[in-house]
Amino acid sequence: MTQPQSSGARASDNVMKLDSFVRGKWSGAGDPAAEIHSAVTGDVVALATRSDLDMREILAYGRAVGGKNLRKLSFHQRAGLLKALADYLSQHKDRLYKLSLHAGATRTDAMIDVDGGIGTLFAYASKGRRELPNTRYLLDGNVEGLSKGGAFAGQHIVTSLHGVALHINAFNFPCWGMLEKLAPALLAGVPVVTKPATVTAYVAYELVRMITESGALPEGALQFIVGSTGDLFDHLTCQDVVSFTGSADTSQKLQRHPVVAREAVRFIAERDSLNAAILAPDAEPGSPEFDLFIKEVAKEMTVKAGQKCTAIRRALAPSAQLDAVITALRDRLAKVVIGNPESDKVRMGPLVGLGQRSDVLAHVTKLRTEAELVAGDPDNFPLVDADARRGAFVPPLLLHCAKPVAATAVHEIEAFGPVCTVMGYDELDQAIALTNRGGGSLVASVYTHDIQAAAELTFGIGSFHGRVAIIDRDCATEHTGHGSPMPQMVHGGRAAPAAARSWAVSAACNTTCSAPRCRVPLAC
Amino acid sequence: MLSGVTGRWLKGSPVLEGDLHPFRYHYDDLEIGRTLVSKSRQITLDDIEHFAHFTGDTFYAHMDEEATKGHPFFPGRVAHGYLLLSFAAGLFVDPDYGPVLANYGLDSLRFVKPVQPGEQIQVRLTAKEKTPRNKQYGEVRWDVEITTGTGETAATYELLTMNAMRG
Repeated sequence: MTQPQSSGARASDNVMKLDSFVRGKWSGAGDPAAEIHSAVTGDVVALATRSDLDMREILAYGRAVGGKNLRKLSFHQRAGLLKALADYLSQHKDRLYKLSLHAGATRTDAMIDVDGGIGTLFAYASKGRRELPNTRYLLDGNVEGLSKGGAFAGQHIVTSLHGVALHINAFNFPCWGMLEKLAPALLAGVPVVTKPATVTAYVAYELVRMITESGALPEGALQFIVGSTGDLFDHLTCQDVVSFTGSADTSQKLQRHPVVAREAVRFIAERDSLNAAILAPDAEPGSPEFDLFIKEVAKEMTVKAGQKCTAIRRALAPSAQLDAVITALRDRLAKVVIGNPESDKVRMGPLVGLGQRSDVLAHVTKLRTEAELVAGDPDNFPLVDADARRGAFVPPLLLHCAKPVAATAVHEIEAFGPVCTVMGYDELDQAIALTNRGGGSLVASVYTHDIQAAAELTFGIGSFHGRVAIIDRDCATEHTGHGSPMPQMVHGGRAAPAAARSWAVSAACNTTCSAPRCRVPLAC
Repeated sequence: MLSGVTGRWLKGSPVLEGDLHPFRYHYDDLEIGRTLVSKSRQITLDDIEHFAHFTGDTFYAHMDEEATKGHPFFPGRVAHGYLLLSFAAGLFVDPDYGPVLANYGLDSLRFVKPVQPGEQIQVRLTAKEKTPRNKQYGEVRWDVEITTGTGETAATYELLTMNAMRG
């Protein structure tokens, strides 16, 4: 932590100076480009620095050196690199935990980010080793006979792209976000250029420091750009893949870049997602499913202070149960202790920064044109070991939208914080229609012990979602939650076209980006 | 729950057990999850020797105790995997004429744990998935698990049968 301050934000002596790792070496700190503040105290914790980076050279080096080195290896050898990297990071992960405190992450929040990221490396290493062949290419399907005599036949072969995977990451999970994209790209034999979001770039920077120290990756496999990407997009080719995570606005801006259109650059975006939790009609108050629903909605609002792409933004319940739902959520949220994540008592930290705080509050203001605030007061809430005027604190804010069919904002605006809107539905068909008003989301969870209702909801919303989690009493003790990372399952939906970071996407031209796929991950 | 949504039985999903043998149901009447748990049968050294000489499969792991010393998989002489399959069929089959027309094949066969002489085996057979073929019959995919007397899984596979329609 930085030194105690008398007033205002200033840099302490141990401010990190962040530079880029390009063309096999650290660029060295250049002129200060941006101050990065602690989410808790507002003190400066890091400086992003500006150095003259030649983006064309960075991409060319990745393709020439990294791509060549990775394509020499078989899937099993690449899986071995991921395993070695994951082992090294596991041994040194405390460094990441320590830095995550500045970003407002509680121990649990940091665990999702740090251990979630390392776990994803392990999962890809294991899948690569067990499920992929020990070759540098993949045979896709069986031989297709193309002639009567059988002398002329076809076989789909998946090979590595000869480009780079450009990863533009979101601020909320600096470790997991980087690693969950890195793992499949490297397994596919494609070198990575990764760019962290500035506000938590110091955690990503430390992670890249550790990756370079580990010596696990071949030369050129990873480059890291702090700050602006400059004219990087001007130099993309048909062999490159862009994986973007962040807001719909930025995503659209990047996707409209003339080079992306001209070169048909593969572009994958994971952006705003109005994830829903649906309480089915059978799950009345007092049933285990009702309790599971309340617990999960409250958890998704408060873990990581609601800054998860998969967090529940809309909670749907039968109109008859609305009062019970609101009362139960209000009680549960009232018990959440907010404050400095260094305190053991604290269950929810601040948002990552003051900028994010004003964004969230502005979005809540818009939501309040269609919904009424039923729990939480952004101007008045207790804090432990922290100053509300300096940290980026927002309490859990629960809204109730009385006319969800007529409303638009509640289905479109993602307030990326501890914010959720409760809405009622009359029958299952309406629940399905309302859920799909999100326009495609990462995850929906369904709370029911009625197989018929579960099936109706799953097939009603499946094509709009990357994942449908069905949660009931039978899986209550084993399920990992609505929004937890599941590297085994496809992560996506319209918000993130299914093949997003699965290794196949970075592979050959004969694989097309598959349509959103529905996955029901929870065996109950 | 997942089984209920997808229409395909999964290990851990509820099963339906009754007095009527699952092979007595026509394709149309067979419910997903319909299950038979067989009686147990002990595997003896004589069984292994008999099977070896009868089939000609006298691989050392079945015949030569000495040769299995320090072996990474075998704790001593073990039963043939094919012997387990054959005994399993003997345990679950309902011999009388009925709606099961033919054994059509096996998928995803894995021998998970070797079985030694003196051990018991038992079979669970569960209707997993149904696919109609024509007006006369349809394919039934059965989930099969062979377990030892200690409840450990010895082998798993999917058995395919052709079952007559009620007609």
